[in-house]
Amino acid sequence: MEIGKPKRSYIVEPAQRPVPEERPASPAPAREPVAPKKAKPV
Amino acid sequence: MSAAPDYVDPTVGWRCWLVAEIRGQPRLVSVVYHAVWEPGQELKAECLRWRPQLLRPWRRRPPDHGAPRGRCSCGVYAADSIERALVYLDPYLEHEPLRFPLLGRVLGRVSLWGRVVECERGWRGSHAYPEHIYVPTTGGDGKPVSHVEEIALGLTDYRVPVELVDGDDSYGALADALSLRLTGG
Repeated sequence: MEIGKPKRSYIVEPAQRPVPEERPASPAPAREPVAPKKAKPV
Repeated sequence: MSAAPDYVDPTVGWRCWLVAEIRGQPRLVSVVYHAVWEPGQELKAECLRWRPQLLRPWRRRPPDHGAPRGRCSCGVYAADSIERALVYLDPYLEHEPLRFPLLGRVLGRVSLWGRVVECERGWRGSHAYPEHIYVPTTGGDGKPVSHVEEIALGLTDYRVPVELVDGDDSYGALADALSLRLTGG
């Protein structure tokens, strides 16, 4: 790439790493045990 | 890194990438030296210029410096404008044969950090990672890019914003579309 002659150099130490972290897989939501419905008397 | 930092925000510039199919997935590849940019990993620059030895010029010696160095041309490149980077979307640019199936070419912004050499019209950095990826829906040859949605979806593996950009086959139109989008017009 034609970007011309160098002018100066410097050091960048990012406060936040510019590489996005892998999102941790979210655990499956805990489900309350559901009591089976009682059949209505016919 | 032993020197005290001058900045804490990465330098952000423009560049183009090839998109190649690697292990069944679309991956960014540098246009000139074909370095593969892996998702979730920064690209670390190294000087690839082997120079002739002084006494035995038919033999070459490896680089004796880390990249980038001001007096060398090494480092990961970024341009200071869309227009300057867009030239590298040209499908007729001659380079070394690519080792992987070529899917297309994309444009984007790249973060540079570590040691950065500021040049007249851009920068060269020691560490780099894509910051935003724009996928043109039309190739430089004026034809629609095939499977463009799949390419864009695959590039989300980099976990940075990926956008489709409409434009005709002229670089000016693509630059205008991007400028409008960036300014919110």
